[in-house]
Amino acid sequence: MGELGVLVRWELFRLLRRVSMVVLVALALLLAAAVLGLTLAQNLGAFFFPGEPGYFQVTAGTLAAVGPLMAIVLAAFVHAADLQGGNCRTLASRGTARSVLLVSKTLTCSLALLVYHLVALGMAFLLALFFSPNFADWQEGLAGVAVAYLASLLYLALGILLAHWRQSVVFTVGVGIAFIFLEAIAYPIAGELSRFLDWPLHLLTAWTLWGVTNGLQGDSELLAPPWFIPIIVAYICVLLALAHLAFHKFDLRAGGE
Amino acid sequence: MAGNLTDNIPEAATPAVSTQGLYKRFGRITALSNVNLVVPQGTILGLLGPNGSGKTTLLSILAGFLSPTSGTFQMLGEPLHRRSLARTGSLISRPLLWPHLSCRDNLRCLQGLVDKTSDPEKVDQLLEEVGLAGDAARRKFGQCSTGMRQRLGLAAALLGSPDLLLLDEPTTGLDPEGMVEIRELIKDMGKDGSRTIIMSSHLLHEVELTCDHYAIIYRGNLVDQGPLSAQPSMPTSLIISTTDNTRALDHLSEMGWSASTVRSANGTQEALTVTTEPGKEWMVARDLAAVGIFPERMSATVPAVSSVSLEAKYLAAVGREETAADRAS
Repeated sequence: MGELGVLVRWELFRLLRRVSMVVLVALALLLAAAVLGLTLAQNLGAFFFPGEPGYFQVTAGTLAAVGPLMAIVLAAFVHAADLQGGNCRTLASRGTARSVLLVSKTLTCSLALLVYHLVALGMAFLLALFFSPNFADWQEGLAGVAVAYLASLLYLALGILLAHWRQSVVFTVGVGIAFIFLEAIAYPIAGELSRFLDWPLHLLTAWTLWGVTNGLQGDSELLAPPWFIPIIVAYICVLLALAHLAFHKFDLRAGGE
Repeated sequence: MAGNLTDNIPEAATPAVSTQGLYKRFGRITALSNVNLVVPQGTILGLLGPNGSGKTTLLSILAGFLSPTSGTFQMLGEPLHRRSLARTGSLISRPLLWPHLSCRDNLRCLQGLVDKTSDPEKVDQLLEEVGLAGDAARRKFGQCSTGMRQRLGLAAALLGSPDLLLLDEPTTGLDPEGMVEIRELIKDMGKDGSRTIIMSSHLLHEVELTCDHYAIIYRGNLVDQGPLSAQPSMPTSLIISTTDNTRALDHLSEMGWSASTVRSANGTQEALTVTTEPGKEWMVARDLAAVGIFPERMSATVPAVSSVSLEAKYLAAVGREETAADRAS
């Protein structure tokens, strides 16, 4: 635990000293604000009037939807950058196990994502207080953000696996973000096709990845099944196990090779 | 053939590093072939070989960055293990540190992994030792010159006072003065025999001046290894002509150098002779420059006995391999 603590501490230190990270956080907040603004504009004229039930949940879920993008970029900065530049070699040079390195990097990104989701939650809470002082949907909103965090962790695991694939920041960010958008196209098709399958298989296909993320944006029905959380956890475990295998199998390159 | 090479190594305690039948293949390319290396404890071994001969691959395997295709090796008395790596400092290929952090922060990031106290003073001490104190310590790694990066890489390898150092061409990218300084530093690090150093180089002269053992690797084969012949430290005579020979003589004598004046055969030209140890000739020039005296001409009579000896060994070993390869083809 001591070694892991030291690694996480210095991973965070390095992450916070990246100018690009500060720019990224600013961009994420801008993006979140834009998404929020659009949702507000859309919903103010519909059924989510300020003061109506569901307002807090919608804003919290909208802000949380930026989480997967953040997760991919964090995986690129924390892991792909160190693999690409050969810094993982330096970290492993004194006998630190590769598993410990991988766990420390995953923990660092998870902490950064948690901070983002808490900030998003705080923003939604303040907005709800302002527009809808008597809101009563805080439990649903809180649950939505918790599951959004879990979904972000799933994309983080995907990002970490992509980081191993080509050991490149550009590849990790490009493919990771492209995947998120491609899901939006693939999801309805997969959903429709899976109707021919058994009901549990249909749910499994339709509610994972984009289905999960989409479900966080206010549609509480998708959050209802309690077994949906274990499915996400299982996906995270599989992706991280693959990343772990890749990290152990390949030689640690000197970077730029 | 490689199997008999260990005969050159004197019987001693458990070697610091030993490899048995080490092979490394990258696809169809065989980078290392049946390498049986023995590095006695407390020695400075110079790993010689031309570019692409397999020096870096061998050091990378010892450092745990690459896995051998086959074969085994022991470091500090045990198979490659976290415990042995924790006692091993390495600088392979080039320093791989974080470009957006300062030199000091880079070392602090790594210090926690090797030194439980994480005392920042130790980092400052190391930076001073490698010549990166003051402003240089605050400079971002990405903005450092090649020489500064190399020095920082060396400092990173020295964190936690490791028992074994693996250095891959540590003087690459350094200016002549920097090369001498790093060589002196490496010699200092290994002088009391408590630390084993493996240093790769393609410069015979560098190995000659720094190491007490050598190994020659050629096309992935270890073709020779053993101790460098113990040569008496023969002094070098420097002949220097400066803008002010009288002042130069006084200053050098004051600094403790054995110096005297000589005249050319026809008596028209005057010069100084200074006696130094081999490899320390630059210090004379440095001491003169410190008081504003710059040599106009400087030549040395170097006792090149041991250098010829290592060169002969190198050429003979490489020649044998070339002949064997020619015959095989």
